[in-house]
Amino acid sequence: MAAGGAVIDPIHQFVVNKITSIDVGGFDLSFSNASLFMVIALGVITLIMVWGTSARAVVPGRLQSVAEMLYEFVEDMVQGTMGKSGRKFLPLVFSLFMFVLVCNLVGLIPGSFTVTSHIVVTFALAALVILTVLIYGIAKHGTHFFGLFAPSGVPKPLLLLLTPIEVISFVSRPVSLSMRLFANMLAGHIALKVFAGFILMMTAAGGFAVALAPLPLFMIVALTALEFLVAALQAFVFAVLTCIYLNDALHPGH
Amino acid sequence: MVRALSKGRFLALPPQIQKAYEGPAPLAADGPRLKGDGMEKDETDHSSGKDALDARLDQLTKALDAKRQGSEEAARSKSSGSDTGIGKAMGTGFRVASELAAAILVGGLLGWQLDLWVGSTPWFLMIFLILGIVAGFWNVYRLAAKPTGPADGTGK
Repeated sequence: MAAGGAVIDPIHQFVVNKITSIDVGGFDLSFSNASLFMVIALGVITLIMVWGTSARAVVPGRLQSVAEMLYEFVEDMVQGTMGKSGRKFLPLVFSLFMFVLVCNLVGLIPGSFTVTSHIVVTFALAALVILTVLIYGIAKHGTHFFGLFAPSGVPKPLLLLLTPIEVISFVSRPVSLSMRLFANMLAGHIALKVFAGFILMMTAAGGFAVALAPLPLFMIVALTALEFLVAALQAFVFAVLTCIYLNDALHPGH
Repeated sequence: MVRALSKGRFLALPPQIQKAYEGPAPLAADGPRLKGDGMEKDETDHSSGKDALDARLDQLTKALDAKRQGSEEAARSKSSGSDTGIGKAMGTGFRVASELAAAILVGGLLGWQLDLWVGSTPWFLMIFLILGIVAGFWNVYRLAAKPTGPADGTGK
């Protein structure tokens, strides 16, 4: 924009580039930078969990402490929301939590790509959760599962109004789940780049503006700290909501 | 009934989460724990069924809790709770905003698509948009009505 033509472009960081083009029967299965950073995230998770727990020390070292803390954190969350019977969903919740957390954190490294800032990715994760709820709920409880949409003890005429509302609020779950994560990551990263752009513009403008140029820099430092909080928080919220939704599949209305 | 149940379940959550925040940190610092032992046992016991595993987990949890008891006070004094306070508040804020927006969006989209399908242009959109708004506020109400739990110094 102002400084040096099209150099300042806060959206550029979200562009998906193909690294190698793969085309299978008309489907575009190219390996892109998004895929690359998903693989990196998986690598980091595997490293933390496998390498961290390989020592099996009674007094854990640093990496083992990290692995154990993450595991116990998610385990407490699963137990607290779903009780003992929720243990079978622990692998799912833990995988989701770790994937979202590591993708968010890896995305904060300057120059990297934030996988979770694309709604395709977050919606796929949310759809996975909701499909698990639906399939497990119906398989386990049959038509009883749909009691979720018709709370008992409500008079018939009111039920006519309440059921569509409950259905809408159920359908909105994957939307809000994916939108929250995606919007937070997108907004945070754009904000960082916009403030970085301010520094360039103010320095280029010369004169009085140059003296003020460090101000956006302080802002970036503060925003980066906030982004770390948001990155962890969004992973946590995603996991908690996954637990709450899965709880509906385990214990629908009685 | 559904509401009551999920409410009860949710009420139990905040202290749990808080514990998860506070719990592991001191343990990592101060030493002996049974986890390593537990992991090895998990692998060898793999075939002997879930009940045995659950029983063993219970036993290990009890042992862990006993060990934890001593360090609990230290943990409480160490973590001032400001992190969890801000984190909790921000989490709730994001949830409220997105629940409201998502329900309205879904209501509007449903109505719009139904109109396209049936050909009754403004009506379904209007009805479902209103239902969506109601659902959004209903969700927010459910969220906000819950966490006024007792014996929780940090919350609210």
